[in-house]
Amino acid sequence: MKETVLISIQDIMEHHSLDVDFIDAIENYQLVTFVVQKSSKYIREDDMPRLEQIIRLHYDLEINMAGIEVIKHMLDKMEGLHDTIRKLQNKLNRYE
Amino acid sequence: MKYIDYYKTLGLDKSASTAEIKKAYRKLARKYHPDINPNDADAKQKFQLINEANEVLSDPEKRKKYDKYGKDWEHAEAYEKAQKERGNKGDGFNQGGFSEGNYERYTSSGFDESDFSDFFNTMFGGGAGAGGFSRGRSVKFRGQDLNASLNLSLNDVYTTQKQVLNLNGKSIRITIPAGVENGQTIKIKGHGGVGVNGGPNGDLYITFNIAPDDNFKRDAANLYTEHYIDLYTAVLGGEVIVNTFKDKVKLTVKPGTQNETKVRLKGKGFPVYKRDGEFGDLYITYKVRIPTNLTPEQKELFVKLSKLD
Repeated sequence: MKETVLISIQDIMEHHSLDVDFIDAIENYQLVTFVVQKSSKYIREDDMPRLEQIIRLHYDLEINMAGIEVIKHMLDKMEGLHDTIRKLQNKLNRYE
Repeated sequence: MKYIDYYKTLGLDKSASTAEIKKAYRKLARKYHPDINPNDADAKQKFQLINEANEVLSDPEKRKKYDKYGKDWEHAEAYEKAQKERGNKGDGFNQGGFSEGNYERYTSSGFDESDFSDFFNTMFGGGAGAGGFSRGRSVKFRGQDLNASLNLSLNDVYTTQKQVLNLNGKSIRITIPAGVENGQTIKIKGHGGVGVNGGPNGDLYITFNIAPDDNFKRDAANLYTEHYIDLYTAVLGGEVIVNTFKDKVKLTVKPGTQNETKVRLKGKGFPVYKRDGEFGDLYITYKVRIPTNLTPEQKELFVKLSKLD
């Protein structure tokens, strides 16, 4: 069975100089799910790219949480559409 | 190596103020940021160019040097050398390094100085410091996600196979699962660019380009093929040997089979992606070959037949 690696939110906050409000907002908007163990918060290693992307969108592009939530929905939708296009293209190849 | 018009890149005049540069940069960075445009190589390239333009135009010293030499940038070094030799201390440009200007640069996953153009590196030297990042902290960043494509034949993806890829001098062993589809992308964790400031490596994304097969068309796990039968077999029925993707099967053709009749062979298609032992179906379309160049005798018999109706 694959082992789940957890990274401490406290460490990430120190590392990226993030404030508690930012982490709370991520949780409130359900952009990333945190794991709570012995009253400390952790993030799964697999979710780290998602968190880093949110950090960049928020701090670099100055997009607020509501905006990030919308972007994430749109990106998920885009990914689904890309997948559909790929499947349709492969279907169309049958007729070429 | 081509001259790059950084003003044009940001859509500005040469007289643009610092505030205008900042505004134009922010607007374009939001539009082309790789996080907003995933898997879009054009947007990524554009974003890198915008970052580079900003790096130069928002730094007073770099901008001065860029404005001074412009299209004659290739001779910039020679001019400065000559000036120095004449005892002139020059304009205080930093040779071969970045000055600590109060500029900002947006980050993408793993953006580093290697993403700057040859033009930039020749004119300003390499070695961007982390101080240039907008948040102004020494931050660990994941390495850049890399994209690669792999050209395969349909036969290659019929079975799960291991392949060794050579990427930037590194050998990477990957497993290509049977049934992978044309255009599908798989992620190889940790095999992308090296992390910045000790951050984790990025991921490698491999997109499979599967060349069309001459005999079989594919839609997900189903395969489609055509089989020609002669008129007599179509009319009277008979047996034919049909090629499946890996084998041959004997099929009974019913009397009175029409042209374009489809037959489904269950489980004789392509492996279902990541479902061991499961296969799609093979659809065979019968194409009835109408005889041409009839002998007088054959023609006579066809005429007779037609009159019997």
